[in-house]
Amino acid sequence: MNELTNGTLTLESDFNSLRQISIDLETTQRLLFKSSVSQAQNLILTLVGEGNLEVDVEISDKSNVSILWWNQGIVTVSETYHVKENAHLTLAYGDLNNEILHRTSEVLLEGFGAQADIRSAAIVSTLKEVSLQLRHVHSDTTGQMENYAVMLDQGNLKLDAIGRIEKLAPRSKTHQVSRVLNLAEQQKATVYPKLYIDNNDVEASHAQSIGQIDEDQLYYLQARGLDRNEAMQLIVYGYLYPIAAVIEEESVREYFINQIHEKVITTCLM
Amino acid sequence: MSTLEIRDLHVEIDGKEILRGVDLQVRSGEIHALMGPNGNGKSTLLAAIMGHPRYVVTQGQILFDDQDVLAMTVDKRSQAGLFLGMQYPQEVAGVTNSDFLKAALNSRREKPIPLFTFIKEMEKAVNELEMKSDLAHRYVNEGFSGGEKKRNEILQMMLLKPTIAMLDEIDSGLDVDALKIVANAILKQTQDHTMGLIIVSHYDRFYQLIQPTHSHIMIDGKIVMSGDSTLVTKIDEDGYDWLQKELGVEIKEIEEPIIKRTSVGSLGTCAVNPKNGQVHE
Repeated sequence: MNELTNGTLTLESDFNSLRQISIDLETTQRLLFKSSVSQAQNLILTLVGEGNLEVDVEISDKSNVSILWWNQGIVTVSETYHVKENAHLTLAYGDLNNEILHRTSEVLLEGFGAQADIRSAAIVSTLKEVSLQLRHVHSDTTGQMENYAVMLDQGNLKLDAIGRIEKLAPRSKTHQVSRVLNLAEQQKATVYPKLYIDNNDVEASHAQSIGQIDEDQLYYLQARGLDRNEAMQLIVYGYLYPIAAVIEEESVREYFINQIHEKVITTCLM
Repeated sequence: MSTLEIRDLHVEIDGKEILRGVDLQVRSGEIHALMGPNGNGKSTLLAAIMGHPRYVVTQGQILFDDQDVLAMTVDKRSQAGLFLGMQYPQEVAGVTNSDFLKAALNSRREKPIPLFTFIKEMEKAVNELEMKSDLAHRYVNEGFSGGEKKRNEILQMMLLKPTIAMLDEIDSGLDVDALKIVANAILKQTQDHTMGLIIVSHYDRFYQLIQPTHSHIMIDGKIVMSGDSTLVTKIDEDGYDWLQKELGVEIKEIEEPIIKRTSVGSLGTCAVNPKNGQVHE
């Protein structure tokens, strides 16, 4: 059973493959989860309401957990993930709603062979301030981060994408890509891709792009029969789809793909 | 029987006149070779027919059966049955070939194509072109070799089944074996669907495989000579110099304009050298 006491929600860890939970920010201020099984698990956490949230997650030795945060609320959230020996965390953020967001998220790769894969997708029409950090504490850890944002009118994105390899983490790999697509004149996107490397025996890379939709790409798609709006939708969908790909269960994945499609259609009409 | 008819076409790019009165008629089932030195307007003609926004038609007409092509948007031209296999196919990261092709097919259908039918057609084309089976799930042209991009153009043509296809140097980047595979696929399409073709190529080998029924030489924005397939062989053997004397025109090879991309600003990538931990921008 999931337990809610004094605003702290402790998620039960012993479940089969998939669990979907709605978190009401009016009643929940703290979320705890510690994985305990080695079979692959999918957690889909939907945020609703308005408030602050603190998240503490431990991915225990050898476990494999995918978490999709589906944000429908107005939230200031601070998250810490501890990824232990040979454990694998996939973290996906779907921030497609028109609300203000403040998020600080730190993924600590604390055990030998720990792996983390972060993907975020955002539609930005207000302030979204996000800091995502992959912190390699132990040797032989692997981190990958992909951030995608679509900027609409009045959008203000501040994104810190951080890869940090500490001194005692040789043979670690950290890679990140951030891409921002501008669909409006009145918007501001600031992306800081950062790498802090304190060990010499590592692999690291970062890439980023900020730009308008590419007219040559639009022409190419139109030359195959798609009208301008359909072509734009396809390109925007490509920015947002990767978060749904983390869901193993086909019917649930389809549900979120449809949600993204609907969002894309309304976005491209604006 | 469909006809694409170009009448006295004048086209400018950035205020510079490239086509200076082109007349051409292509019927379904015919294969037209369009030859001429670089920079004399061959690609411009194909791009103007397809409707590239940078190419401005200042005079003349393009008719496709009874339709006024110049009044149609790019997507409507495609839906009407025109196809351009591009010299430099665009990469579209994030969009899978399968989503792209499904959308392209559905744009010309009343009801969406059933998934099973789509998968079968796609697999058939992939096999015929001897492409990798994971093609459907890869992003459009991203990370493709030059040859793979060209095959992907032909794959799109096979699925979309145009009435008139224009192929702009589709053979460049293909090795000898790939050239045969692509030529066979094109010929099959021509026979099965009586597709009409306009082919721009610099290689006689490709023309030998395709066997054009008509040929044209374009110089300085005009078609200066038309004939049958023997003209292709003559150009391959003798080049263009003899035309200079025969027609009294001056022949220049002009460098193709490089279209600059200004829409995407990128800070690029920077990587850490795994050996010494230094950051290189």
